[in-house]
Amino acid sequence: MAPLVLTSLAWAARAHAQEAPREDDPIEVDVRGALLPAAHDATTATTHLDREDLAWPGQSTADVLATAPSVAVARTGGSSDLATATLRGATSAETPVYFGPILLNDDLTGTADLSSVPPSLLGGIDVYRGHAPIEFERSGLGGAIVLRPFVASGTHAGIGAGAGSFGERSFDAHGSIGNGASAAMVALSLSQTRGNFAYLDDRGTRFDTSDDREVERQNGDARAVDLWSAAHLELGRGSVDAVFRGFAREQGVPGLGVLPARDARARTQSFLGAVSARVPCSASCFTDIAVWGKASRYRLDDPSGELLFTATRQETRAMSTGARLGVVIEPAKWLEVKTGASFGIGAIAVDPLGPAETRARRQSLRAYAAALAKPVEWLEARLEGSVASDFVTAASGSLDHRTPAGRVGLAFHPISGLSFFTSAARYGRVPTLGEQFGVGATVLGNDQLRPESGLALDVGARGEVTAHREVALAAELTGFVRAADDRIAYERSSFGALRPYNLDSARVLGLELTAAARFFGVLEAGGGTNTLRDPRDTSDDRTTANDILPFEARLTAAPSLALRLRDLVGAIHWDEALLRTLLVYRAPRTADPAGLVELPSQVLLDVEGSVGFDDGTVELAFRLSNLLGDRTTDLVGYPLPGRAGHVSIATRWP
Amino acid sequence: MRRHLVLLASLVAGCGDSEATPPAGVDVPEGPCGHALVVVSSDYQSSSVAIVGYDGEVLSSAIVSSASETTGLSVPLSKDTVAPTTRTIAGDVLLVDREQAVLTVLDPVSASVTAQIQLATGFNGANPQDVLEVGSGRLYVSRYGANASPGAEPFDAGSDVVIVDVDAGAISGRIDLAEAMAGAAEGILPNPSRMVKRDDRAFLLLSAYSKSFAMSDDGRVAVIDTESDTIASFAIATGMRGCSGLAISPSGERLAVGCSGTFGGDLVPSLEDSGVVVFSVGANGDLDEETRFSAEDLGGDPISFSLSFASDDALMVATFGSKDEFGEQVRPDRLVSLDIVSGAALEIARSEAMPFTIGEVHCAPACGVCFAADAEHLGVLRVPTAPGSPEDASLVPLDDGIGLPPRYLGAY
Repeated sequence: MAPLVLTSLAWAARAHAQEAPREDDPIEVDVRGALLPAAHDATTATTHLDREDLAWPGQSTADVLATAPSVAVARTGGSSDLATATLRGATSAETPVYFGPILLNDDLTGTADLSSVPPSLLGGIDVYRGHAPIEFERSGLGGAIVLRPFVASGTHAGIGAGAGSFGERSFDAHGSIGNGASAAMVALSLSQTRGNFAYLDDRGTRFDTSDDREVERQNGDARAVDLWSAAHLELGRGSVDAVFRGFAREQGVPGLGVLPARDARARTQSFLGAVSARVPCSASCFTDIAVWGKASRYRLDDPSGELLFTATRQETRAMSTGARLGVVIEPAKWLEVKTGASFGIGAIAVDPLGPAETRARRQSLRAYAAALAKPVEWLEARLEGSVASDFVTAASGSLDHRTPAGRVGLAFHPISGLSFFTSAARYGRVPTLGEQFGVGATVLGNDQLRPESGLALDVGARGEVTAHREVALAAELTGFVRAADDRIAYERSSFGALRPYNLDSARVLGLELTAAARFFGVLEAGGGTNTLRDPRDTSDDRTTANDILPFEARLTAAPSLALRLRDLVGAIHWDEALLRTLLVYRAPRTADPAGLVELPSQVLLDVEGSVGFDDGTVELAFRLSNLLGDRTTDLVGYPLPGRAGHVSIATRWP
Repeated sequence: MRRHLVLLASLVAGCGDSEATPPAGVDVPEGPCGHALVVVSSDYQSSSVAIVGYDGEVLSSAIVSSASETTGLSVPLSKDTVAPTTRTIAGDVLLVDREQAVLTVLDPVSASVTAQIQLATGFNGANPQDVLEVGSGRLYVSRYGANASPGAEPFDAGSDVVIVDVDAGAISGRIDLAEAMAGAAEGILPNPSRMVKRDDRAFLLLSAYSKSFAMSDDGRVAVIDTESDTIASFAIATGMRGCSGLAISPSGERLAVGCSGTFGGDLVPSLEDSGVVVFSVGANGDLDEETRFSAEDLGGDPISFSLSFASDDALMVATFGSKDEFGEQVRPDRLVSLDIVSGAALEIARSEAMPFTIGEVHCAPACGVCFAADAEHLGVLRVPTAPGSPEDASLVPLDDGIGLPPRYLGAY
């Protein structure tokens, strides 16, 4: 039976481009057709980005996510610099990002650094717009992003190398053993960059252009090593997935472009592992089990006091571990019920940070239950609920929060190829440890914070039409409204100190349109997305006339056009050549609540191409990024690379 | 349906690059107090600047703002922009962008920026605080932050005063303040902030913190000979910490220092080292402590970052309130008129529900009026200073269509 629901253990994507999904593949790659791949939940809006979207040289995970509807990325430089993503006008702390089942958001600020997960590690990305799967630790106020580890299929060995602008070099090797159903792999990746792209330094004097100068970015270099292993084993009706990863990066931290830090360096080390299993307990029952753990250390050395000002070194150590046990049963052909519980333990220590070091621990326990009914062919109904309990401790005390969440969803399929869906939900976000216990001498915590809460309603339609034997069209249109209350914002609380309070509220209206077309098997248009958003600050104490939320572009678009040619020159065993242009547009957006600081529109044009030979034995790829040379920023002060070129070659045996 | 189409059209229209309407300039003849008041509003994320006449008329509600130029790698005016403590004679509006370390010179008549001068000298955190005109086209700029690795550029040590040649648009010299820190605890930096002057003496407030702000020392005032650009003398506000308010009396015979007290990273600052110290100014600028008022004398709240002389014998002082964990006001901000001779303190105004909203205080004794930024009511409190009239304080709403809370005041 094709999977009707996302299963909690099904995070190891093996969605290799050439590999057809198995009938009982638990991975939630869409079964509705390849034109608009999506995670498998007919009652919600999702976007699936597969490995073909991720495999381009010089591309970062944030670059890829920028093409998805309702995703806003904030990059602070090149692919090795801090980058975050938000969904539907939520903050990065309100947007959980998972690597498999492992929550990547740190517990101090709540953000997840996408630069620590390069696309080469991923088999796919699922963007759950508005409604995350019930099994995950946190649902997010605007949805969740799930990065799915790559597992090679079959028995192969391969090496690859890449080079690009700004001293970009990479080398990777992997070996895998297995068959079409089960495989295990180990891979090593080395990468480095000088990160010395040029940008226009206005010297902080926007009214005086005479002193503007083009400068080369300093201290933007990075070296990284990534060793990971992943496996998927099919065991009768059950399966086991596993992933382990060790990652280390040493890099410069240039900070702001106007006055870059020349001596600040950072070291990142992280280790993570997860094992999950799906075990049949009867003909109509599965048990889902998952365990995971993560440990990371980030050290910033600032010998010249360029970034920290008050210390020459800051080190953040974090660990988390958790486990989940769930049961999926089918009491009737038309009904699937699942329930389960998970627990997690996390700890973070920042040393030094202000007069006292920051150390805190979190223990969480979460229970969930869901039912999916398909009483008739044309109707699906979903009811989900969860409650999470978080108990956190620090030197200054302990706190506990209980966060309920729930969703009801419906999908109608009146005719083949056409669906309507709607979903209504309530979600919550517990405050981060930093918000509760403080992150320094002047940024205090607040032990009276309540969890943020949000309501969301989606209404959408999706359809796919084969107008001609060689022409296929597909589109999905989703309208949503999202409201968030008790949003946490910092305000001055006493002489010299800031403190977070439950002050703000917000409402976001939006339209998300995704369309795609394929002509004669060679021309593909779309994968393009458009987002029209109306994000408003509805806080009672707002004094500014402007109520548009900062950093939210009201229009984004990411159209693409691809030409795919296969088997044209048999003599050279040409498998496939792909040439694709991708345009990512973001309308101007404000960078402050008053709406005075406006970031200009962003137009990033990429041209990508690849050609494969001899059934995947050799693959060459290139990518020309930001071809228009758009001088742009996602955040004030942090320049992004201009025009750049990247190439890669990969070989595989057999 | 029509309504939905209008909404859609407005959404799309909002997606294009917008064109800001250029603000109109103001041409105010110079009077006994100068031209007019400068009001800087900020929510600590962006800023706008208004011009208000001494009679309380809003002459320009937003003559320049963070929206006055396009944003590039930086913003036109950052979230941390202030006006100097004293006005310039030339009639320009000066703005100190503390975050981007830039001095902006605005011609108020044309509402155009005529110069911008970078003050960072290559290091982060220079944090310029104040500007003092010490001669024609010659400015002192106090820089709060120190450079941990100086020597890469001229004048790049930081925690100093740099001398700016306005015509050249560049820094032309630097005054090291180590001499004025004699006797301070090891590791304490000068952290210069506000400046005022009388004749050829500039008085510079030194806040005296360690690099990490974990330690502080007694606040000081350095006296600088503006002819030779050297430290002439210094005075210590013994027992007073966290000093960030400085004012000189209309006659120039008194100097007042306001100190907020020791900040220990918690919600309740210590009050024993918060207060106001009044110095008498000698003929050569030497300072002698004349009197002092503790925080308890002024109502039991820490002194805020600003005070100003309403007359030779009266100070207008603001104090900080506090909030509880739910964001509710526990103690209000207060604006207090302090009689230096009798020690009588009269409360002029207090915040209604939001502490940290009574901002900078600026008095124009020659015009018989004081002003205080009122972020809670998005305006400026105008307080007549004639005997018996402080109770007649009135609010001047800015009505700038932006809504940023007014925080800082200056004049030109």
